This record gives sequence, C-alpha cells and structure tokens, in this order.
Amino acid sequence: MNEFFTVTQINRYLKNIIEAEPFLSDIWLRGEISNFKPHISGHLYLTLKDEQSVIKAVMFKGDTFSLKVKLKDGMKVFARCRIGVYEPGGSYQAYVKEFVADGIGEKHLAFEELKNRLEKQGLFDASHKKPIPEFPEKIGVVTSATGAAIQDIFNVLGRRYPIGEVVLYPSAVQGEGAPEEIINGIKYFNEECPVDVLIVGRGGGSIEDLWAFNDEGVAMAILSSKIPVISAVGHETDFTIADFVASLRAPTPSAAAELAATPVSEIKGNLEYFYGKLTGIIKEKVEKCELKVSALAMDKTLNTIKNNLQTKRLYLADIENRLFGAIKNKVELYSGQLQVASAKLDGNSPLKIMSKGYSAVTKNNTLIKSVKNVSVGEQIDIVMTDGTLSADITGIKGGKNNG
Amino acid sequence: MAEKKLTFETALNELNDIVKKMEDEDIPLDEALKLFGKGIELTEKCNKILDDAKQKITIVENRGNE
Repeated sequence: MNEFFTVTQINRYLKNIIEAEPFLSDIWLRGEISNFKPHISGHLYLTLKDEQSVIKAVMFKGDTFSLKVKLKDGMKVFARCRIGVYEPGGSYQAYVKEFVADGIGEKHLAFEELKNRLEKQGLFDASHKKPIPEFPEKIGVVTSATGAAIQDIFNVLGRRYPIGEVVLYPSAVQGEGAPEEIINGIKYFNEECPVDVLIVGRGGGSIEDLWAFNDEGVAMAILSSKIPVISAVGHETDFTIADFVASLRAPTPSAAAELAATPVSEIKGNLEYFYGKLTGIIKEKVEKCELKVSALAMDKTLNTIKNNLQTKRLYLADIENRLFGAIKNKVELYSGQLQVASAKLDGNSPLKIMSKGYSAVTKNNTLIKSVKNVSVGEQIDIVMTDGTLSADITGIKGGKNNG
Repeated sequence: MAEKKLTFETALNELNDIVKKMEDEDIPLDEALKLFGKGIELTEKCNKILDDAKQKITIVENRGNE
C-alpha cells in the first residue's frame, strides 16, 4: 500500500471533476417522477427514472415558486437541472431548477401522427369542404350551453342575421366525455334536425382544454357531415384537427357566427343598389323617350307636313267662303229679279185691276171684251172682286158708231 | 319555411335579371315599366322581412349527456 486518501478527499475530488464539466451545469432531463418526498423545509426530494435507470433529484424551495404543475409520482416530466455531487452522501444528483410536464409531448406526437395520416388520405383537401350557404334558414351549434362561446354566437347572429333560427345542441367541450357528445351533436343535426350550416367549437383555453377537437372520431364526424361545418375552437394560433377537416375554420366563436351568414346590412346594401339601378334606368329610359318626342315635334319634315296641311286648310276655307259668297250673290240676284217680275205680275193682275173699280163681263162664262159681242136683251154676268152680278142688257152705246 | 330562403336568394337573383333586362337598349318602354314595378315590389318585400325579423333560438333538450 502506497498512497491513501480519505473518503472526504475522494468525494471532493469527484465533485470537482463533475462540477467542472460545463455540459453538466445546465441540461434538460426527461424522466418519470418516483419517490416524491416534499420536505417540511420546503425542499422537494425525488427520484427521476426511465426504463432502466434512476437518478436522485432535488428541487430547493427557492426554485419551487416557478412550478406550474403539481408534482407527483408517475408524472412524466422534463427537468432542467445541473448535475452535482453531494459530498457528505457520496452521491451525485440532479439539482432541478424547473419542471415542465411531459404529457403534452406524448399528446403532440399523437396529434402529429393523426394529422399526417388524415392529410395523406386527402381529407384536408378542398374537395371535402362544402360551401357555406349565404342565407341559411337554420344555424346549428354544438358547444357548451354555459360559457361565453354560445352567448357570443347568439349575440353576433342576433345583431347581424336575426332572420336565421339558431339551434343549440349543448355538449361538453373538454374532458373525457366531450368527443362523444360533440359527435352526437353533429349526428343530431345531420339526422334528426337538419340545419343549413353547423358551428362546432368552444371558447379559448389551454391546449389540454381543446384536446377534444383533436379527437379522431370528432374529425370523422365533421368529415362525414352532409352539412357544412365551421370549426370555432377559440385558439388564435394553433389549429386543431377539427379546424383542418372543417369546411371553414374560424379563430373564435364570434368569428364563426360572422362567417355563417350574410349580414343583414349587406343584404340591405344589395337591395339599395338594385333599387337605385331600377329607378336610374327607368328615369333614363323615360327621359330618352321624352327627348325622342321633342325631337320629333321639332322635326322639319313633320313641320312641313303640318304647315302644308295648314295651308291647304286655309285654302279650303277660303274656297268655301268664296263659294258661299258666290251662291249667296246669285240667290240674291235671282231673288231680286223674282221680286221685280212678281211685282210686274202683280201690277197686271186682273184682280188688281178689278180692285181699282173695273169689272169683267162674261156671257155664258165667256169673257166679253167688246160691245159688238152682245145684243140688247141678252143676259150677262158682271164679275167683281167680291162676287158676280147678273144683268140684262138694256142699251148699247158705241160699237160701229165709235168715232 | 323554405319560403324565406327562397325569397332572398331568389329575390336577389331575380332583381339581377330584371336589371339586366332593363339595361337592354331594345326593350320597349311599357315592358321596362312592368319590370320596374316588379323589381320595386321585390325590394320592398325583402326590406320588410329584414325589418320585421326577430331572432329565434332553440336549445335541444339534454339527451342524457352530463
């Protein structure tokens, strides 16, 4: 035996070697917690293990305030630590500064696997996405009956599209039973209560909270839905499987409600546009016709014809006048002549003469104009204007003896 | 209740058709006036539906879910 060392010396030596190694001063360990012993002092003592090995670990009280997760046996974790040596105990251990739950890690692997598989099958393709109707009569919603999500949806639709009926199928949106309830909701609207569009989703939450919407059964229900589905999983940045397979993805329930229908303001805008167009066109047409009529009125040809007609009318009137004038003159002329002749006639009328005192003498109804035609003793009639005298001739003077 | 859906989609399409027909130069004035009347009637009908609308909400009875 040559040199000998104390236990302390050797432990010190090992400590120096190990703690001088920069690599060991800050590493992430992945393992499962076992033998978890929280101490009264506030320090946490535990063992981290994997399939084959273990390592002792401790988290000092000062570092525990950053803990976001509750540590317990069986929990899979990532531990940020430095590897050091506890000299008195002759052991090395992990001095942990930070723990991060490893549940997500596994979940994420499953998520990636499902996402890739479905994508390769073409189930995210546009061909599976159905068009969202512009004017749905009925809007179905699968979400929790409590919580902000459904209230937001009611409010947005009430404001923007009150003409659509909203039907809510209440469903859990997180936890073990959630996927089944969501699937039942989608089935309900496909089989029992047809609607024109479906909103499936929930409000915001942690990744674990949203996990129901990464469920394969839910994805399949959305894909096989005959009704277009708008996914509304309130998570701005990350996409769930439901988001990929839905016909449309909305970042929040409110946004989904906005996408589900054409806002009334827009419909009114369209109606106003058409109203304006109709009145504009008809006004234009009427004005055009008015112009046409004016133009025709002013048209030279038409006016010439009008003027010609006018001229001919005047000419006609003139001729009429002259004709009547001429006829009137002639009538007057003849009337005058008639009057003269009539007066002459009247003057020579025997009655006129007789009224002057002269009488006509007749013998046997023959007019006697001479004394030669009678003899004394003959009967004669003396015709006067108001009667006849019967007379016998008693004497005759004149005749042959007329000198 | 397919009426409401038909009214809007059909109405807006019909209005579009009417305007197109009316924009045609050759259409006689009296036919344009007929179309105009029909178009105005449509817009008034639609506006009335929008103005009278009140949101209807239905909540499905719980089906043994938790």
